[in-house]
Amino acid sequence: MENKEYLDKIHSKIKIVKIKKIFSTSIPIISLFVISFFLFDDKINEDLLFDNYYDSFSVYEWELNQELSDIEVYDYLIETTCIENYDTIESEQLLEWIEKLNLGDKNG
Amino acid sequence: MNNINQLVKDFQNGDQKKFDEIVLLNKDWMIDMIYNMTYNKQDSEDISQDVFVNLFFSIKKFKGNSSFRTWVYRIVINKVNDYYRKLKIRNFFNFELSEIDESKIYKDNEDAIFLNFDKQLMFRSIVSLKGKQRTVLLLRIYQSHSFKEISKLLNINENNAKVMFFQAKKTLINKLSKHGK
Repeated sequence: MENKEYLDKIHSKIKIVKIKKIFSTSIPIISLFVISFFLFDDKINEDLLFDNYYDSFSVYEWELNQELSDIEVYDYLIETTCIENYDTIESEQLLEWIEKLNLGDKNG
Repeated sequence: MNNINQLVKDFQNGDQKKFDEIVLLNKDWMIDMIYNMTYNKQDSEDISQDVFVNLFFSIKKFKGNSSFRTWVYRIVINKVNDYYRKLKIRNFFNFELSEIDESKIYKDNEDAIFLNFDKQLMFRSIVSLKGKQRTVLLLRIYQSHSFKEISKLLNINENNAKVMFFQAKKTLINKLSKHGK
């Protein structure tokens, strides 16, 4: 075998080994990265806005109603929100705040 | 040898071009040596290339405690062992082994007995020997190494080398006798 051909074969084998070495070191690193990404990717499990829908659509009917009276809104809030003692709040200012928070400022 | 030591040193210091010179300086004796243990020209060239690839990556480990040739010799022996290991699996499943060329063997009268056997059958029997026994046998018969040299190459003591050789020879003759002359 010619010297040049012989040397060429050796160098091509060396290249293959180098590529193999790169793969054998990078694959564990990449897989480690992927595994750690999935392990530490904390999902927000309790997203009340999107996950805890009521099963029945009728609960949301009031939202479709264009003209709601304040009483209807209060009733709805008492029925469906966590503030159970909503109707016992005496402070006018607090009620006003709650109204603003839930319905927005009517004046703008 | 001084020249090769200098080349090795230069390569270890990062001069990649010296590698080709190291290859060209050692290629012929290496192919010759491997050929004497494998009886196949193509295989011996392939194995020698693998040895140089191995050498490329591990030459930094060479500290110069032994001669460069002795150090390379060990890599060659390991590669030949790998080659035989693969052949052993083929042999176990009765697959065809590579065709062997004429072998230049049996310098010792004591081992002339092997001349009477078919070379392909002889090859099959050598393939089926245990790893170290086979290496000792190959180095002794086909490379004409003394037991002292073999013990140094394989890191075993001289008596062990002798015992392994005689065991290998006995096993080989048994195997060959079973198949007839």
